[in-house]
Amino acid sequence: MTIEIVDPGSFTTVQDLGRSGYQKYGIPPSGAIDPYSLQLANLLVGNEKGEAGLEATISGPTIEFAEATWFAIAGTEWVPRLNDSEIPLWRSVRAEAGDTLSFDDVDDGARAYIAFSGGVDVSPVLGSKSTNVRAEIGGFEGRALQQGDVLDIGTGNDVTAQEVQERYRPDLDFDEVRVILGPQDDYFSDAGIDTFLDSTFTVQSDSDRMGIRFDGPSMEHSTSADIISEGTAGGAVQVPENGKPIVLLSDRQTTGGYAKMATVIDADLPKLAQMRPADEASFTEVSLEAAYEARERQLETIAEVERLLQDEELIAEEPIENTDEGRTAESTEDERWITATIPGEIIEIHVSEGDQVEMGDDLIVYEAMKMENILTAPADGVVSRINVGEGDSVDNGEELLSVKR
Amino acid sequence: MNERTQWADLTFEPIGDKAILVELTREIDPETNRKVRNLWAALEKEPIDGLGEIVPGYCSLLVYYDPSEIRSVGLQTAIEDVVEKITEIDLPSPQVYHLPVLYGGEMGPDLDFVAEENDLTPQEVVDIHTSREYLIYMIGFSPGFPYLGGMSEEIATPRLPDPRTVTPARSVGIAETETGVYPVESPGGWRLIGRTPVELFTPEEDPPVLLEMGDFVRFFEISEDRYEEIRGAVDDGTYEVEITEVEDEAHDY
Repeated sequence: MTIEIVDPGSFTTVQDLGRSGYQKYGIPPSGAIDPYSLQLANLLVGNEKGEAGLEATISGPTIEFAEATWFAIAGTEWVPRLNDSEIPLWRSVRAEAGDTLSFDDVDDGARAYIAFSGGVDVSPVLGSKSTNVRAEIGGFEGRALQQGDVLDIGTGNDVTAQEVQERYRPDLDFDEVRVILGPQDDYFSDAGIDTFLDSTFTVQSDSDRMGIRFDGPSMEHSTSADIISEGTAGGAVQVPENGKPIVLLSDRQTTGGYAKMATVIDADLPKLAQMRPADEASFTEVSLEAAYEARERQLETIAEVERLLQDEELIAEEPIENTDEGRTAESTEDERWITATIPGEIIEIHVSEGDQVEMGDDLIVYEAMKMENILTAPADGVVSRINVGEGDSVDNGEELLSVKR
Repeated sequence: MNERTQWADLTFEPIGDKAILVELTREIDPETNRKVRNLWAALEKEPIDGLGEIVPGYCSLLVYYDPSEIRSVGLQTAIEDVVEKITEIDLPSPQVYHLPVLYGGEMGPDLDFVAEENDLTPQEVVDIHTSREYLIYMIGFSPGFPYLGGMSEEIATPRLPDPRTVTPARSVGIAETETGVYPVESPGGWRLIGRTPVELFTPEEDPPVLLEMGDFVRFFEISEDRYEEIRGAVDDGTYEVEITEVEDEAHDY
């Protein structure tokens, strides 16, 4: 069984729950930023909770199925399509041989998890299938997926179309990310701690799987921002000399020398996974007891969903209409605009107005979240208008270029 | 205070709801670092239910746990119990890893700058850099990266004002009074004085890294021809890094 990556989206990697036991060698755990959603997606297609799936970032991939395959998508609130039909998230869906999964361009939510019945069949490296692009290990050739990659997936399970109801999905209320103060809150002045807990911070475009960088008011250190290097945990809120917080994620450096104000609680990792440049967040202090309780509740929910799915008590009600037509068939005479889905900077423009292009051709490269995003032609046609130049900064939703059929 | 609590005055600090930081002091010295290794070895020997990964540092240990099995307070008590019992831990006797380095030229573009900065000739910088053993205080930052102690102040050099976006894998560098080797390509602000043909990170092997905390590194200079020869042998899997016993434990790390 295989799937082919027709378009990788901005940054799509193979991830499971990460590698354990190698941080002492400087090797980060990696793994899904939102392990909760990956586990539920796996359960929907009859996999073990910790099986590897795809983690898509900022914009979703386009995937063609070679054989009939059950899959499920969890995490963000993006709009996936199977061929032309919109399909629901948080539900097991059956693709037939030759079907194509794609995602509409969105400007909300940062990560989706796609699980395939049978799992992604790549060799584990150091006990995990997770990709770490900096160390070039794990996943598919130790790198993010590229156009034309063909991935093996395992032999599928016997799946019934089921759905995870909203009450079991993670709470993505962005206003409040819960933290426990420390270990180096004593490196900050009282005013610095107040700034941290009372302010709103904005996600920066150089965030990635190593960490989310925030802008906002500067948090005052009491003496210095530097500590003697020590181990760094996921969720740690590191504050370098500029006073702006960086929340460390799965691909973080295993040790670090900046004072850490606080640590995001485990139960709030799904929120971190959905933060997209320009999103805002604030931090709320909770007790260790409250954090344990929130984590327990999440684990209980996963266990409950696992049981309900096994007993087939979450049967999806509405069938999915799978129209067989390719995407181009639906294209109209209208101009189709390509928009920026994340703030960034235009690096290259490959076409000029009047150029003939084919669906899937590279049109514009722009950089955001330390990644080069390649925007491709949505249909065959002619480049009608180009609104930007190389080097321009662009905002969310800005119209960049249009293609006329 | 009895003898046991004098062994180390530990402080415990929760890190979120899945880890605690066990700190011995806030100082960098070989004695404290040795105690970190002692405690690490003792914890690995004494299985505590719910104990997860341990990430040792210069003077602290980050200890992960599974909150479904043990909580922060229980883990602290369990670690204190282990400390009570520490009498004599047989740490393996430290070894010296001899790493060949091709200094200067394309491989070490900042060697001349380091020399000028310190009123030395490039060869003098190399001689000083290869003159002693460096203690591996910890492994971190990136896969297999050794935090080395004990470099001579005579060749100390400030970091690059503008860090490079790409530092080639196996580069040997200097930053302030520290020296180190980048196992994998990464961004960085170190002054690069040379490159080793030896791989420090080998994901297909177990352990996947060459160097371990508590051992020592000594660099020695090689020619361009020898560099190519060793590179070939490394690719064939036939190069063996020379490992010896420690001779020079006296100087400050």
